[in-house]
Amino acid sequence: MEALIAQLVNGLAIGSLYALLVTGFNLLLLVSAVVPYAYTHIVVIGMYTAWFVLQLTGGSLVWAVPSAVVVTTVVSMLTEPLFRPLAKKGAINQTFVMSIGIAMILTHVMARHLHHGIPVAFPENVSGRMAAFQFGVIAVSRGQIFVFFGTVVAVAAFMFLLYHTMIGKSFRAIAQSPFVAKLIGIPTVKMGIMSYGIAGVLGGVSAVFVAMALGTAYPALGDALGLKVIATVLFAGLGNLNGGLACGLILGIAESLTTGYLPGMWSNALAFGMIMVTVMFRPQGLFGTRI
Amino acid sequence: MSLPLLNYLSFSVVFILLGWALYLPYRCGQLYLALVYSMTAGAYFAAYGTTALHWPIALAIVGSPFVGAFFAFLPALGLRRAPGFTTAIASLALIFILVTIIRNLKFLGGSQGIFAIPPLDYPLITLAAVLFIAGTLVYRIDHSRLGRAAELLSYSPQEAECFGPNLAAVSMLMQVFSGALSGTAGALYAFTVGSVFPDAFGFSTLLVVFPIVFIGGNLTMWGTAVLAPILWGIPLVLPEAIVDWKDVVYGAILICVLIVMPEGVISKGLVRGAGTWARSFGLRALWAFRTRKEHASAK
Amino acid sequence: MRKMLGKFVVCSVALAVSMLFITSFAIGATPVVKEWKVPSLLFLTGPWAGFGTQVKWATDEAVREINASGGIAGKPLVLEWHDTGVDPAKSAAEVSKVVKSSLAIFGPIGAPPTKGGMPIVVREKAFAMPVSSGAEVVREFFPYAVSFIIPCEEHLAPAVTAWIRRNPSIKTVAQFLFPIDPSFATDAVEEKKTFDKLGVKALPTIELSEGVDLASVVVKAMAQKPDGFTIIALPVDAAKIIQELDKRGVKDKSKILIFPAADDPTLYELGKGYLDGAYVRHFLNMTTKAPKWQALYAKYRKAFPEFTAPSLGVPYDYDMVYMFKAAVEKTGATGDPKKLVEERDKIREYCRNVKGFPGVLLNFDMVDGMAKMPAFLFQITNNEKQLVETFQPK
Repeated sequence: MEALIAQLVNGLAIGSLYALLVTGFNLLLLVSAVVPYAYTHIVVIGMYTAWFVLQLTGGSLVWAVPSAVVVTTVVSMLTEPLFRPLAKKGAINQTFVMSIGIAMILTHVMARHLHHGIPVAFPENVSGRMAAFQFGVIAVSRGQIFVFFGTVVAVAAFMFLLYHTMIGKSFRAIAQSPFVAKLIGIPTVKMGIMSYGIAGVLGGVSAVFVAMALGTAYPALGDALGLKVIATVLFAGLGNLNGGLACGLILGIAESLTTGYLPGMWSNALAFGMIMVTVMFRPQGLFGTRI
Repeated sequence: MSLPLLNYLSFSVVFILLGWALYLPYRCGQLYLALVYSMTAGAYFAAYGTTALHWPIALAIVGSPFVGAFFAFLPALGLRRAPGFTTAIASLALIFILVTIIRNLKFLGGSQGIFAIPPLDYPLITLAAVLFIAGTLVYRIDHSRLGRAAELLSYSPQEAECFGPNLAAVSMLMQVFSGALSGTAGALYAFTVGSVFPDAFGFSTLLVVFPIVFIGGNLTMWGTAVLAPILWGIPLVLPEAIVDWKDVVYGAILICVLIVMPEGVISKGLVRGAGTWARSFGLRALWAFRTRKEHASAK
Repeated sequence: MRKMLGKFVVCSVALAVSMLFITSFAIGATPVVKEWKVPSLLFLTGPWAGFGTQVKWATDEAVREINASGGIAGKPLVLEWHDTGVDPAKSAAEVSKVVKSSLAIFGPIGAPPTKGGMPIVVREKAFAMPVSSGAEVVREFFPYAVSFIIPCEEHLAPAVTAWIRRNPSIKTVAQFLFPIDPSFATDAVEEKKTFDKLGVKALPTIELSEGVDLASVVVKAMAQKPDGFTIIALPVDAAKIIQELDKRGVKDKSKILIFPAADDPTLYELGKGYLDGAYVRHFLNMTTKAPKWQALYAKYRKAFPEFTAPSLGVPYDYDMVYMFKAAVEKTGATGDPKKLVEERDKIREYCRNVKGFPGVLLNFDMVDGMAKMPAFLFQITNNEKQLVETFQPK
């Protein structure tokens, strides 16, 4: 029973990370009609930025967090003009290829020019690796608590933006029908650019939380997270924000439980297999596609 | 023929086949990523057959498309009605499942894999024959009722089904053909590299095939045929001075081509235009030849 | 007219590009015998390129030193770097470019590139030196390769026995294994055999998968209530596992034994503050005071000031270059293309069976392509390894 509770706690922590990453991913998918495979790579760049600033400032989160957010926002917005011609033509698969190219460039930068490509470790005060609460094998670290509640706050803030502000209404209008949104006077290009910015901000926040949860950043992390995020998005239904949140948590818990109770080598196969069986019976994804 | 050139041609053919394997289901709007899954099945079939069972290479090559098709048929029973992107995640799962199963099978070498796979006896002839047969198959499918039905389904499955084409049947056929092409690609891969092991097959292979299809032009088979050798060859010919920046150069090329030509390098219009030009060139050449013959006989 | 000119230009450009492709693969350009050109295959790009950087540095450093002292038989050594990107297909492509014209190939390094590129070396009966790829992988390609990593059945048992002797309270052991590499799996099997002989119960192996979070596997292991833990995984994962163990109350790190490939700068970087007391079994002693190693280590610290623990590729690939030098000089190779096959065979045989080779860490013998080196047991104190026991080879 103890082990089960411990696995559920781990699953919730990692699942909340996936949920946050999926939210940023889905935003770009809905509003800008791109498949941003490189989103997780931008998040890892944000992690590296946070790490560098922490080194320079002697561990000051006050400087590290905004720096990470600024860098991820800038990088995200720099990619907007690259995606625009493809998004205009509705060439969604080509946007995936475009983001593969961007991911390759970002991975090269991390692997060859940041800390010699060797993984970086976040200091104790950031990663909060010490257990805040421990009972037998159940251990909840400060980092995990922060990640979980931080994710709840970040997602709540994002949902507030989406459902209670004009910007959010514009996003939802564009997601429903870009043509009609243009007809009624919503500046779709400006909103598209803004969506990159907001996704970048979410990415920066995600970077800090991922650093807290994992305590480390390395070049291959972008690909590892990217695969999980794409799987979650497809499982939930493309562009389904609420579904993405739920499925992020589900995937995190499923991963924990399969790793905990089945041979480790099978955990990826079983997690993806579960997804495969689900979409065979619900081809539109668990919660339905929105694009 | 020099070994590096032969190796380059072999991998070019492998990636052309994989590109066509992605292209065919995409014709009916499905992003079918299980080509790596079928490729793995074909590769292990060829490797095990020629090393443990001492089959002739020809048997392994002839058998691999059937093995790939069979492996594709099984999940196709469940995936035939899955729309667009959803097929992607389901088919991705198959790669993980098959690779994990292989890791646990001692007779297939487990994590170590199978080595000492013999090379192709007549590589050029084999590659040319495989490419010709596969290309003919893809061309015939493209220009058949099946291909037209697939294209119609990709635009609007519900409306199309009113006119006859059955999404389930068409997409299942496309997935099976895709499996056959991938299985063959796997066998050629095994004979070219000389070893197969689980790490060789994964998501990273898809990241090579995707650009080939979507930059080459996903509405016609010719884009893959032209771009596969180019995109595979670019990293191999970069000067040593910039080999460290290979990924940046490759990524930049992908981005630039997509910005300049979002529909892909080889569009349907270009293929039609090239066909028209070739026909008119052929007709003019024939006319010139006949005119000269007539003048000569008049003299 | 303009259309025809346009078509002509397009055709000419396409033709020129195709010729460039075809001729770029042409071999037969006469190797220059005024220098020793050796192709070196390594992952220089991709997410794991950072690990390749250290190996490249060490190889380049050896070349610099050799050329500074007059080269090999009076001729300078020049490396041609080829990137494999941890991709077996790319490794095969790069090997095919160089296999027929090289006296030796340095690398390919890494298990997937080795398994992808070495079959071509075997087919062509050439010679490659993937010295820092696992022995279990490389010996599939004997006699056309050499490995400096001693097989686990030789180095593992004495170190594991010593660890148990130092921790007599350990009666049950949980084993973390990342089975992605066959040499890791072989290590796990050999460990279990040794535990059986010592009367220690090896609990069912906890397999890791490629993922981002390892808390689940640690919980799984701890649920079995073991007395000790062994870790057979990559450095990143090893560090995370130890942190998770610490979080769950495993404070006595002497109950943890780490396997050689996890001993890397990454382990000490990520695991800082959590590793003290843990044991490391290894086949390399980089704490040695050997003057050659101290000199190289000083240069390493200058090049990589953030890292105190070099990866095992540093001494191995450094020695690889010197072994090639010794092979060329001792066999009297000339680099004459007409004598390529004959000279390559002699160099290969030399490298496979050289006795008393003066390595940077210690002198060692090669026996049928495998190095004969001692094994070691270390304990980590203040985030650095301290040698506690040495085990001579049989």
